Amino acid sequence: MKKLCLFVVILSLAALLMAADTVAILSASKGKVSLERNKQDLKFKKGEMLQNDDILRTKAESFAAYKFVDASSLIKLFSNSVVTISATQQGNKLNKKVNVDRGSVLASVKKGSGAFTVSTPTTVASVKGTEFMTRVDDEGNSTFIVTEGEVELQVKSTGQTLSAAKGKTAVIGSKSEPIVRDSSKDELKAIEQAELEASKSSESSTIRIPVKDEAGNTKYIEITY
Amino acid sequence: MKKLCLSLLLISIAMLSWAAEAIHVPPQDFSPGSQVELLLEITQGGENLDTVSINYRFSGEKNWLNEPMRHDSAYSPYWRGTIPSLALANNELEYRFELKYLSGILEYIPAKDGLEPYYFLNPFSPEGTQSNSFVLLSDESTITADEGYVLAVSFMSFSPSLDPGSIKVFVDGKDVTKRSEISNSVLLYREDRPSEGIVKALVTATAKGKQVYSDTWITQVLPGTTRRATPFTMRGSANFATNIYDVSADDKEMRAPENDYRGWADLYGSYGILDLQTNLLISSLEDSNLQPVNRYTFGFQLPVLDLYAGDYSPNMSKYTLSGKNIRGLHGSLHGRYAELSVSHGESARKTTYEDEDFKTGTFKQEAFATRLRLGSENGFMVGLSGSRHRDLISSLDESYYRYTVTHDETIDTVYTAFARDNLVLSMDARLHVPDQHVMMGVEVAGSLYNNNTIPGPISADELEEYGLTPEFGGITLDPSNFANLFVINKSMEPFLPSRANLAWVAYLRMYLSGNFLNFEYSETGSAFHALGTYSQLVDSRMFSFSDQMSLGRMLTLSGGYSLTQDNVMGHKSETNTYHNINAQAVLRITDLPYLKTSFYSNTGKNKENADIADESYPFSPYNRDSMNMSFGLGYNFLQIPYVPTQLDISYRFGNDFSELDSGEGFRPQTDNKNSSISVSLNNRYTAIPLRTQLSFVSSNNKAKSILRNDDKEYANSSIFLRADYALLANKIKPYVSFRTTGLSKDYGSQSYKNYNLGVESYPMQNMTVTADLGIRSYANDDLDGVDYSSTTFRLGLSQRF
Repeated sequence: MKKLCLFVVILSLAALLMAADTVAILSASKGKVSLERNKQDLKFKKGEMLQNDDILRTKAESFAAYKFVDASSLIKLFSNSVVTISATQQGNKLNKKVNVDRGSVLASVKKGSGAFTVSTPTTVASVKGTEFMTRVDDEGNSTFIVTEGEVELQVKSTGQTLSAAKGKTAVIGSKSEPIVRDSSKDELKAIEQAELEASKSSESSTIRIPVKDEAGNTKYIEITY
Repeated sequence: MKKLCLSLLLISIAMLSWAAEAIHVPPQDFSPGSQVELLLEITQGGENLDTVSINYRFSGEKNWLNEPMRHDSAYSPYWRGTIPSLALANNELEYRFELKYLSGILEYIPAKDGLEPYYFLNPFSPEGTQSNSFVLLSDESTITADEGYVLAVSFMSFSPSLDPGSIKVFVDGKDVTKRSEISNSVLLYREDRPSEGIVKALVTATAKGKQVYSDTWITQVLPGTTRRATPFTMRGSANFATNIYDVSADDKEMRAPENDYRGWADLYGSYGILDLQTNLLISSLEDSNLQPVNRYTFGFQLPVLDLYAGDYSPNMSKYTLSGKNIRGLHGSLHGRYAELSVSHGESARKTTYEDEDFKTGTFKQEAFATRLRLGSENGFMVGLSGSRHRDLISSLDESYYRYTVTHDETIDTVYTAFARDNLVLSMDARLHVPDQHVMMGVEVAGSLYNNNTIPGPISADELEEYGLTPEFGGITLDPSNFANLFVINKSMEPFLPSRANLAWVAYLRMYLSGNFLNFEYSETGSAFHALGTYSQLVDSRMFSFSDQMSLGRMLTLSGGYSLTQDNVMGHKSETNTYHNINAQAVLRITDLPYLKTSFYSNTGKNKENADIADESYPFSPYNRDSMNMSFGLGYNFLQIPYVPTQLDISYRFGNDFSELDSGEGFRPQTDNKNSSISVSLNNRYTAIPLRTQLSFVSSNNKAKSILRNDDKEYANSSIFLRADYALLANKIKPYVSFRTTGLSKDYGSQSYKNYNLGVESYPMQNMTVTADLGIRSYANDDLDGVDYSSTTFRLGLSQRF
């Protein structure tokens, strides 16, 4: 019994230590973005180290992005999204998991890295080198729009597997049969639009570029965008 | 008498060639966070050196930082020095050597001629191997200052071979490891308000016991719109050192020097367009009745104004004020096309001496100098300079410089000290074309010198006695009216200014097809005096030419010729002419041994001036011919397992021959031959943190002197051994060193032995604490009562910023 207790204690400590590992960094945030860790909202800055089970939330007209520490994948959260981050290291590989509870998430994953899965209330998507958008609506219906590579989908309720390649969109409803169809122009355009919106700042930005005139004096060219 | 004169002449000629020559092979690179060890080989003139130090800075910085070099042993050509551990910088690290001669003259290698480049080290090749396992997660190549700078690097691929504790993060020339967050697989450094410009970052670490380093990541920070506080940056060091002495000698009169201490600090700050400077030196050797040892300088520099208070060594011009310290105020108002500089203060302190029978002293000397530049330094400019150095008679009580004789009717006043007055005016012009790498210029100066101003200015009546009419344009000129500017009296040298009071120099420096060429010609009149400069070789003309050529960093060739001739005024019965030739070459091919060689020749002879016969000093022609040559090689034996070895070997030989014709044909006067071999070994062990140094010098000199009527052979050898061992991750480094110098043959059997045991510790970042116990012993087998041993304990503390 003592050994079992000791084992449990060690396991718990190990789990705590594992949980404290940095698995990703926050590479961008704009608008109203919150970071929850251990049920507490954290103050954070660009470059914040993200740990397992951290929850990122974006509100309307907001945006966030993070990178896993193996630099293999970039995850972008668009407006009104909720994502839980997790990853486990296996040797030199990092197995990454993105739990999308709600909203729109664009994942860009390089080939040759560890496993990468996106989990929604209805589906688990496994990918190896691809780019795709995941959308989860308020009813838990999941939509996967694949713009690069291929995504394997497993329906949680039935275990059914599907495959969606570039240019395809898979829709797995909570109460309907899963389907894979061609992506519509609107869907592809919506991704572009979301990225464009994300790259825009809520306020205009100005950069000043120093130049020197013939007399050696420093002057600035201001560009507002 | 002739022999005595010849001896004096040879000594004065030796003074002509005081300048040391050196060979230095710069290290290929330096590692962020590691010391840079430099070796300088003095191939000629080392006996005239007092100290050697390294001046270093990152290119683009204004001020030089300074580190002293250590001489291996008295007869060794090697001087060693260390640039403290430095971080990565955006720019190259540049350095030069500052040679201080026993005469007080400072010389720099490379020369401060405005064209010749400094030595430099490439900052982007740290030790170890580059690894792609450092992955940059923050990959924005351009940011604005408002966004903040973030460096996020993953080293997950290393796990678990990499020791996170060994990680060092360098951003923009600084070790920012302590300000970085380092987790199991990621490091993060954040700067909320970065300065605009290029930011370079690099990470080093130890993986599987080997040093690895990342790519150098470059981010451009564009100016933001948010007004940000101007950062205050500071560099420099604060230091303290103390020496505690003890001596035990056969000679009971021998005493140990008094224990001493000194503290010094050099701080250079920058706040926007304002640069600040503070230099302090406080020593227990300061004595108010000796020339100052303590130093203090406070100064600031703005784009149009420099102001310094305290000790400062202005450089107005070569002939007016150059390199000599003045304690007072110095200001310079400068623009692109004009500059006005003024210095005023004390150049020598009043001192007194007295015993039971005699009193004397030195006057406080006041210096004033000014210079007006018109024109651009990067174009054509004309400069007008003037300096006055005056001994203040009022600074010394009369009893310390004059007494009255009552027992001798021919003499009534005896001076034990003389008050001098010196006025120098000069005009210089320079054309500098930076794009063409050409600089040419000329300076003409005239001086007035009075060797004794105590009697005061001469009167108009006395002037008439000299046949001089004190009237000019109907106005009577009374020297007392000009006494505030310069005291005119019979002690002027010469009384009437002439061409002998003039000095001039013309030079041409250019960079042409890979060659740094330097031509210079100067003449100094026999009565030219400039107390604001180091000793001028009066009554002489000099022509020099030098060339330095480099093929990348592979081949460096340099050489020069100089001609020195005295009696430029033509009023001496003979003229001495000397020719110096020097040449050096360093060949360094990557991964192969470097080769070096040097050659020096000095020939001289005299010639009679038939127009000026001096029967009391019959002409005795002489010839002098001396030569030194050295060959050397060095190599960094990285192939040797466990003990990579840096080797340097030099062999040199030379002769010094002189002959004199005293009316019986030429007969040899001296015929000296010398040869020596020098070896330096530096070992840095890979398996253990041990470093050893070995330096060995053996030389043999055969001296034949007709003057002394002897024929002697001298030999000396010296060995220097040093070992240090790093403990606690380089925090503590105990060391032991042994240095012995043995003299033999006609020196008799003598030996000096030095044992040193010490520890260097680095308790905090950029802090060094050193404790050293040294025991020195001297033994002479041929003489009794001269053996001694002394003990010195040194404690040093240095904090760099």
